[in-house]
Amino acid sequence: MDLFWQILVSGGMLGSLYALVGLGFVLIYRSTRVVNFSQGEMLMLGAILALYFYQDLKLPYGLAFVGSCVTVGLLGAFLERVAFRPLQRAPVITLILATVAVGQMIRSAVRIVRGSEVSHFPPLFPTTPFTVGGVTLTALTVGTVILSIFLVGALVLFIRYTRIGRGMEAAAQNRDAATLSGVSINQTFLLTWAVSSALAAAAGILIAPLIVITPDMGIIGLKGFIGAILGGFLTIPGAIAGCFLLGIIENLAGYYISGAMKDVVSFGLLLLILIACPQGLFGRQEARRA
Amino acid sequence: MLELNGVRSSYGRIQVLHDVSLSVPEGKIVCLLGANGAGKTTTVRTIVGLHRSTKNDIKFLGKPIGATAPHKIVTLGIAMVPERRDVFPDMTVADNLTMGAYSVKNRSQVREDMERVHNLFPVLAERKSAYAGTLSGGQQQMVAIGRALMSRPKLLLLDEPTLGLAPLLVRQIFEALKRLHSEGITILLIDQNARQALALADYAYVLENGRVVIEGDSGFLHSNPDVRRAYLGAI
Amino acid sequence: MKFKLASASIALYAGFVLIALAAPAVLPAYPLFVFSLAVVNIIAVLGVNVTMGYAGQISLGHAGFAAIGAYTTALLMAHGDWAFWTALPAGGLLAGVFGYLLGLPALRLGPLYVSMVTFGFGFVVVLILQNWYELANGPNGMAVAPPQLFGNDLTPHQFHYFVVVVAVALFVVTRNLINSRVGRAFVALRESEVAARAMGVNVAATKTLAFGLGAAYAGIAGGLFAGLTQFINPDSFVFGVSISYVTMAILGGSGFFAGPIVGGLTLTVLPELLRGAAEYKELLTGFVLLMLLIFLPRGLVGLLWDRFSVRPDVIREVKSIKTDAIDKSVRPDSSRELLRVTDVSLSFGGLAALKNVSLEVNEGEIVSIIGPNGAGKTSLFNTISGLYSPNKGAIEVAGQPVMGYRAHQRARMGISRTFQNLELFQDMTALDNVLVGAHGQITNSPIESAFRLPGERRREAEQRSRALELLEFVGLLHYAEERAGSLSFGHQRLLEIARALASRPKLLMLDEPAAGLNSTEVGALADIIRLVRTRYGASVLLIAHTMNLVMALSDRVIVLHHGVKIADGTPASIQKDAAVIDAYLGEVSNA
Repeated sequence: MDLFWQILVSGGMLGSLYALVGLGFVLIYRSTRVVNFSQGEMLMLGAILALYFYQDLKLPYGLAFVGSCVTVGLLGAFLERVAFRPLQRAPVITLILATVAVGQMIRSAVRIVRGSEVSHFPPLFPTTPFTVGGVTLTALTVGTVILSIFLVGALVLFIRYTRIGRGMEAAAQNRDAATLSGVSINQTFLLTWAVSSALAAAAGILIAPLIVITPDMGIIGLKGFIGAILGGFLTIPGAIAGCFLLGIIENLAGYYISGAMKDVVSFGLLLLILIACPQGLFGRQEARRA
Repeated sequence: MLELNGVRSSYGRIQVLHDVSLSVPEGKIVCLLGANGAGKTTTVRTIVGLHRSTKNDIKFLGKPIGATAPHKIVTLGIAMVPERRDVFPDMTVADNLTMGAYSVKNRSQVREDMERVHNLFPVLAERKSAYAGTLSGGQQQMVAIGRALMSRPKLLLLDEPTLGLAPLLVRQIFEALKRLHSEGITILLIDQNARQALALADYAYVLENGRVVIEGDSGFLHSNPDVRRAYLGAI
Repeated sequence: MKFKLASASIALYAGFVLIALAAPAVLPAYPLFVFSLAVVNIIAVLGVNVTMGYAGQISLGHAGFAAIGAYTTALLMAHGDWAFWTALPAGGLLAGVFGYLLGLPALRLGPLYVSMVTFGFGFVVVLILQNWYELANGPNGMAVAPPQLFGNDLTPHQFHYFVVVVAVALFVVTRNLINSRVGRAFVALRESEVAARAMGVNVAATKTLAFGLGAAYAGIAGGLFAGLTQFINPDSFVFGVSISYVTMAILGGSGFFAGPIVGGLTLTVLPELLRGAAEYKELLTGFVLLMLLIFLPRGLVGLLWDRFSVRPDVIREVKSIKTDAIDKSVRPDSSRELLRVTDVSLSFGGLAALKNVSLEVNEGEIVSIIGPNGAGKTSLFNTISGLYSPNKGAIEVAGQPVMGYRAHQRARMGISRTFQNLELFQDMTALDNVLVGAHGQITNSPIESAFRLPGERRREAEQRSRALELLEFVGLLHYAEERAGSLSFGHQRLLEIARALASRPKLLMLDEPAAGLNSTEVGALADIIRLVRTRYGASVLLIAHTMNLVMALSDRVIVLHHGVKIADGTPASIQKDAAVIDAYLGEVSNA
């Protein structure tokens, strides 16, 4: 039984990180109807930049964290401006492929700059395990969960209570009506790409000490997408719940089936969900206009 | 107040507005009539810049607005109620209304205007925490009108505000428009309900295939057989 | 003109094949290997072109299909003692089956989810291969025995010939398919799914076929790759490979027949010339893809096509057509009922669009449906044609209940229609648009089309001349080879009518055919609608706002208001009906 709780807790921790990157997918999808295949690369870039700031430039952790998020956020905004905005009226397929191309460029550029070397992010919090009610935890995992939940919460509050956040939400729900209310769609989209790229970077930095940093680590970002699909892609709470669920399912699968098959299970789950109930477990059908 | 001078507009290669000229004098209600596909919606979408026109000689309060970005239009004092009860479905009624005041910095003004909208449509006060997408068609229309009012417009454009509504609600909406007019808001109204629109309006234009074919005082048009012809054909 | 264009392109293809066949004689070993590899890539890209270029279904997992083809071939040879020649088609087939299965979710999902599903598939395939140690050696990959013929190993020269022959065969089959009803259905799907359904195209079967076929080509390419390199490992089939296939397809020209050749060749040979490291190739691929999407979405072949293509001249072809021929097979009996709608109600999320609507249309009758905006007219059409399913009620055509049938089946039962907002297949020629309308009339199977069996040719020719006749009927014969999207608005409306007539409908439903037409065009339209009845024996159900047209044409007029039928009678009686006048001009407010 303790083992079950153990799996549940570490799954939840994974889930909180998935939620962070998953929300980035959801934000972009809701306003531009595009799934951003470069989201995983933003995550990878976030981790690598933070490592560079922290280890090579010897910046304090907090500064490295914020600096990396801001840099990646700016890159997201830049890409929106030069690559995605010109394609705003293009078919969805074209836009999806554009994000694929951008992802590939980032990935290979990183490989050119620093090779395929594997690096480790030094843990910020101690990794000495302690036990609470039969469940083994480390300060690192607890700290990571708290930070990512804090970031998810901050984003939700930002959208809910700030004027700019409301504008983003309005533009996502009804582009014309938002424009007529005075929301600039172009600015909103720019901001959306920036925010979701920064979120991915944050997720990358937080997840980095738990895994290794490679140019291909972006694949883990797609787990955020799967989690969001699992919960229901169109609502923010549904997506968050789905990401937590995915983290738990993966950990269960990793333990009871095999570690290597973890990813197979999550993509298998994606196929299953898409076939059986594409609106997600906690989501609802996209409103259709007659 | 608003003047269109030979506006042309097209979708791709298909021209839908051919030299439309019309004017909305301050303090008046002007209505735009015509059958489906005549170009009424394109006309108002062109005015607010949601549709880019090929020739956009549009003046508001004497200043050209043809090249103004669509999200700036509202700050000039023009608010539009789009067709089909265009609300933010996953926001509450109150949030929908607040969105209408997006460009308003003054918080007490927003509170005051919210009061006025609630006064105009009391049902919106009752249902202020309901999600707009769950409201009935008539209530959604009230939300859309209320949202437009939150920017304190000088000119209100309404695109078929009574489309598909039951007669009782139609009457309620028209009552509200009358009241807004008496408070000094200038109105450009698109409606299929020609008789009722003419009863309310001071002046009317009839569009056919993207051209203004008839215009005149509403009293004159009310008895004009051509208007009926435009809708029902020659008898 | 036509002769010139056709012979020019044939000369180009023949030239390319000659160069490919001459290559072993001139090229040293490594360049020859690159050339063979380019041809293998061209085959995979041909698969991408079928799935994405023609049928418009995004696929980010073609490398996964290639992996299935390659590993199936290799495993059957290594552990099953199969010969390369039998293992290769088996690999292609298995990849095709996977493609077919992966196409199933695409039936209900948009490009967004399909992109993710295909991506996930490709990813999982590589992951499984990396962990499959027992047979496939995990990440270390496996050696593939050289293909043998009569007990001798094939030389690289011989294998190159084989690859070229396979490529030519697949291109011929693809060309046949693309020019047949199957290919037209692919493109129709890409251009407008809803219109494809209404024209009798079985969308489910067509989509899965497009995925299956595209995957099978990639599978064959994978098998050939195994035979060519004689070593495969999971790294040869990673996501980046799928992207380069897509990039090749788009660089060449997505949806153009020569696209895969141009794209596959360029993007295989160019990086070799640059001699860069793998990372630089990937960076280049990504950059090229992005630039293409923004600046050249139609690709190189598309660019040339738009510049230089010459429309073939079909006018001579139709001299023999008797344009005033009357279709004797359908002779309307105006006393017989054709359509009966009983108590149909339809609502969207609580909002009622139709309330207990009942109506009948007799054979050869022209019935108009009028009513203010939002009255439910188009909803009624969508319900009859099977795009919407009503909450209750029954619909019969010629005495047969149609409720249990889907839209494409109803089209084949004699219900045809046009669309209010024009749902033409924009990027197809006018003639091909009409031929899609005849989709249900042509019974050729994909196999018959792929190999152009004699019956297939005859049936295609029959429908082609009938399609030309229909174009002549609406006065568009001169535009037969023009892109539908390039026609004027009025002509597009007429083309939709010709397309709808191609299915030999018993009931033709026209949704606002006069909207946006000028008065001369409306006059011509009225003549055409009248002729539809006398020449083709179809009943017409017409939604229109141009009242002159309604009053002049209709035997009967039905008025809908708020989803309720409020009047049904002769045009004259409708114009005097107080309820109708109120509905249109609005009740005068008493308040």
